[in-house]
Amino acid sequence: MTACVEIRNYSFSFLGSESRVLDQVNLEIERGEFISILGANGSGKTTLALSMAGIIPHFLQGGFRGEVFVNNKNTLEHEIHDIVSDVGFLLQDYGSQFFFSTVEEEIRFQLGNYGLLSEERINELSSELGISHLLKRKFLDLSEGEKQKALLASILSTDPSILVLDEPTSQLDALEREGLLETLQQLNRKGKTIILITHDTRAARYCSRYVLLSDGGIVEDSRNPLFLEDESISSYGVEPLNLKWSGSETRNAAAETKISMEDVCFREIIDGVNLEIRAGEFILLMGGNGSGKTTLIKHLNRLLDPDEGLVLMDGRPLREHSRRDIARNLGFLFQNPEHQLFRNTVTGEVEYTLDILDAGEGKERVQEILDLFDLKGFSDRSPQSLSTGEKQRLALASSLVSNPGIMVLDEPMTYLDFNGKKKLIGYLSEMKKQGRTIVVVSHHPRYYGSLVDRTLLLDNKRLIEQ
Amino acid sequence: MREFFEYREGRGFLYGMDPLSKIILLVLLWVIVLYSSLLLLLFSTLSISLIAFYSDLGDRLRKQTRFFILYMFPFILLFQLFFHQSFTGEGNLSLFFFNPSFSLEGFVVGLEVGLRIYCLLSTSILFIASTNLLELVSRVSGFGLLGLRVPDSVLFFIVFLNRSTALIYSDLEQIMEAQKARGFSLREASFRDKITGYAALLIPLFTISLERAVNQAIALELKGFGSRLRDREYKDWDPIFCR
Repeated sequence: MTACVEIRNYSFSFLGSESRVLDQVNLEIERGEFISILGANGSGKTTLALSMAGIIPHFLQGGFRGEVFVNNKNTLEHEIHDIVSDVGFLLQDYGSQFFFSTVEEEIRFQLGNYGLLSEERINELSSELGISHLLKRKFLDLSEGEKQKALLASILSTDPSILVLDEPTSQLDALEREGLLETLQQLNRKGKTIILITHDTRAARYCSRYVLLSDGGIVEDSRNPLFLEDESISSYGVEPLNLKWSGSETRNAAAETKISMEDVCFREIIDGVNLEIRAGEFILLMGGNGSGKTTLIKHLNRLLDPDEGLVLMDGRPLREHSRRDIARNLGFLFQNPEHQLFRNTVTGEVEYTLDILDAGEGKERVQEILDLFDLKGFSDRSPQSLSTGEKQRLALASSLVSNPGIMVLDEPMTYLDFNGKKKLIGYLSEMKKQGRTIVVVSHHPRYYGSLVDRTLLLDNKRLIEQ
Repeated sequence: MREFFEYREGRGFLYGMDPLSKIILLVLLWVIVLYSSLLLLLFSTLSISLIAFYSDLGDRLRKQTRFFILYMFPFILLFQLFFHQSFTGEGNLSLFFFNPSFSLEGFVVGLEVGLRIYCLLSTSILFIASTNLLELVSRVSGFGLLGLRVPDSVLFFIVFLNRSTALIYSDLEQIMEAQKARGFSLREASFRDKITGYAALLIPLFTISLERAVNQAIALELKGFGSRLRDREYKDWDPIFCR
């Protein structure tokens, strides 16, 4: 075998920053390998991946030391287009990667860029990846797994020999995740070199080589599958495979009903849903991508009104509560923390909730809650400058500062690495001990195991108690 | 409201038409609507409705009609009903002195003006709903409309702008939802709070848009978009828009 990627003594720091994101990295990837690059958030995984596609140093510039070769092309000496013709890249924010409304248009665009447009190629590719039925469909109507598969088809259309995928499984449910990984395995068998950037060891188990990155340097490079189960990798912010998660086993006695849904229907998404959420309960709501979980929980605080049926809070229809009343009783954490941070400073962000709710007397709680969520050191920083995990914590702190009795969290683990997940589980255990009602939407039941009082599954528009 | 300005996949008469023929039909209908007699106008209204229903766009026309009747038509009618003389030149400029006078003629003219505006809006909305922007620009490009060939990069810019607008709107909706979840509703807020509320919307919207712009630029590089532009002079046909 010959190396298709060679990285020699490579260090990189972004423009305007002193600190090195990557420091003295040496790595050789053989042709036809299926390799995972593991590491915590901020360990330098994405920077390394972007360097392999020539985005660094041509598009994102900074202090570049060492050499990166892709198919024997030095990325410093070759133009970006010469390099990307060999490297197919699926970004973590893959939503940014489609420019046209339908799958077919997107594939045409990619092929057209290289002057390779042909109907045969589109047909061949779509049957190979099993996406013929998706060609005419709009991206926005596809599930997350379908979107990734469609983008993969677009990337593969020009037949790159190397595929780099940045956290492709983070937003997928178990079924779609396995589907995508099996597709990658098939592509690897056909000779593609696949580089999987991830912090998910369950995704990495499909690979044959595991590289562990920490603070910009490679700390482990192993071909032994048992490496993924090694507990020592947790010290680098990576969750060991088959780890048993534990949490508070407190069972709160079922008390009065806080929120109930009676025969709630909404468009074609949920139909005749009945649900009672009792004080102090921890409810885990599961369901596949696109099953309507987010739609359902948006009814709990009137972000959506049902087409039919009724939602009651403390025995009164939700419509009779003001927006402030609802927010005082129910905190809501969205999947993407970016959308819910509005102020210029971290302290201002937490105070904003109290200002909206006219709860000025609660201002002494601001420092207390910043302390609880390890955010005191950032109090004067802009929320937008924080890492994703820190943003998530700030959004949670901002929701909890008004002391709501109910907390609803939509896929809170999506952007978190192992350390972030551990912290979140710790906060949830604490909240449960305090007697708060918690509703979590998640694809990952294993994290919540012993915390959960009830698991509900949303399937085929209906809610099923597990 | 937003759906009035969005393309929707579908089948039927309008969807089967070539985008350029559709533009010609649209202009023809506008001329008829603007200059025809009341009878012909009524006939045009009926034709537009039939076209909409045969193009699977009946529900959108119904929604748009309801919006027009509730929020636009009453103002047009009342205006013509009471201030008709201001426009005929027969009376004083009563509009400015607020001296309304009811007239039957004004009522008829109000109906007529309302109908003309309704027809103009309906035809435009049906055109937007049934025309894929990409197909339209490709057709305009391929045809060399009025002897002009639209540069490839301009066409892509239009498509990109269309997509970005939809994404920014979607971000805005999510940010407003996040504000509501924190207890702030623009609808329920006082004037002062509305101002601060709007300001608070801009911070995440700006950050997200900026981040997305960088990611999209990277995505374009990864798709080899620049190489395509570089090679354009060697091609006498457009590989993307030509089908």
